[in-house]
Amino acid sequence: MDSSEGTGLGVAVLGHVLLFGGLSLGFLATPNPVSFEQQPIEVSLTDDVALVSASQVPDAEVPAARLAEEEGPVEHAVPEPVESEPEPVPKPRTEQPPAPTRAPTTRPQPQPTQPPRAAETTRRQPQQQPTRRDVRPTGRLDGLDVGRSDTASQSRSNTAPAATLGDREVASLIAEIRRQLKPHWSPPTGADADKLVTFLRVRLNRDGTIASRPVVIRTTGQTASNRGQVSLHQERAIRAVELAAPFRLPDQFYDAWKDFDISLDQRLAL
Amino acid sequence: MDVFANLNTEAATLSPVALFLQADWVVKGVMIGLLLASIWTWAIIIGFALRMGKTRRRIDQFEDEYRDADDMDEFHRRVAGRDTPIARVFSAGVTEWRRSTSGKGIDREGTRERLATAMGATVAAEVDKLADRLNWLATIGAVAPFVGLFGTVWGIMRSFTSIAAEQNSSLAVVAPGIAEALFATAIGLFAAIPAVIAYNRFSHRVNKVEARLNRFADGFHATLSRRLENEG
Repeated sequence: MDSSEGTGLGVAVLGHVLLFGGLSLGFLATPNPVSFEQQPIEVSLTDDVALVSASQVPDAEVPAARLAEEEGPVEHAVPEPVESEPEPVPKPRTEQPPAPTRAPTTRPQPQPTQPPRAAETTRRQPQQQPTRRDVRPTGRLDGLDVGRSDTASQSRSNTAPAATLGDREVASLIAEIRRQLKPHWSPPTGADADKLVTFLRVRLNRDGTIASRPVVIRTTGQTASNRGQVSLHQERAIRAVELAAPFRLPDQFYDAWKDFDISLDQRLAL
Repeated sequence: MDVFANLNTEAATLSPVALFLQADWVVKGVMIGLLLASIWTWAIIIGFALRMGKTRRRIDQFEDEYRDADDMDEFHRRVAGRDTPIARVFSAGVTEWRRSTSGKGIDREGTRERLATAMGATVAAEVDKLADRLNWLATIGAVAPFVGLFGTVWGIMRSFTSIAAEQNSSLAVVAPGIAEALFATAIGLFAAIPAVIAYNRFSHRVNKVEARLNRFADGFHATLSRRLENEG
């Protein structure tokens, strides 16, 4: 090896170091080829799912203030219907009798009349014949249950109302579960293998992981020619569920999917 | 989703160093060998180019001086120590000439034959010396792609076993193994392509130098042959 070969070796080593160093730096410097401009969002296809209350939800809002009835024109010609009740209770708010019993307090400006609260005191006054006014029907139904549900619910229960899912929502959840199973499900192939349907019972934790190994309930569609595939079919069905875990399902519907049965067949793999 | 996270990290590890570091030891060995072969190829190419350029310049210079020289003995004294193929061919001719003409009776026919043989042998020796490293280029150019292919096949076999082990054929599992396997072929081609090109180019240049040396030897042989007739 003479001097020119020595020079060549030195230059070659240097060139390779520079080239690979530059390539490494270049790969580090180039923007990530598969980085996304927008971060992918997870899409759940259970948008049909909604809670349906199984019990009557007590109305938490205070009922709207009762509207006063409109006074209609007095019709004197109509005779008064005979009341069967001996002592009809007058409606307190419909009439505004003068209330002299309430003495004006020590306010500097005496007010002769008190707001409608004073009507309660008038109830105690014996009135043989209350003056009835004719009332024109307004079509408003509020106030019909006066005295019964005029206030908010008095229930002391503080538990959440029991909720169930409707059929459509359950179907939607199952569709979502099957969609997540689909990429992991590869049924065995062979004669009549497409007739096999394995039913599994799956129990999930709240975070979507499997609580216990899925249990095979049964496998239908067994024929003489696919007898040998049955155990493989069940095994792969269980494996598909295990691989698909953790399932990403809406947390608020955990009651609906914590324990479910699911069938796996050839069609799911298509 | 974890798939996208994997892709992000894999894209960052596609640099040559990272690909090398995460490869199997067999593939690592293949890569190291091919890298050394590439370095050796370029060392030969650069060294050869330098030496050929120098040789050609010296031949040009020598031929100019030879054309201008009047006295052959004086010219021989001047160039005797030069480390140049053409000077050695010239020295071999002069040495043989002196040996053959030092005796009493001169065998002209035998002297011409010996002169031709001596100078032809020197030319062949010089060309052999020049082309010494070229067989390396031929070997590397022929073998490096196959070695790289071997590394690729091995790496892909390994990534298939890892696919089988993970029960998962998603891109994130398959991609790094195949990328690092293909990297072996890339290095093989990287070493082989310059080697093949350089081998062809340098063979051509060596042939040119050989033809030139032969032309000079023939011309010098003609000169000596003419003097041999005058001597007698």
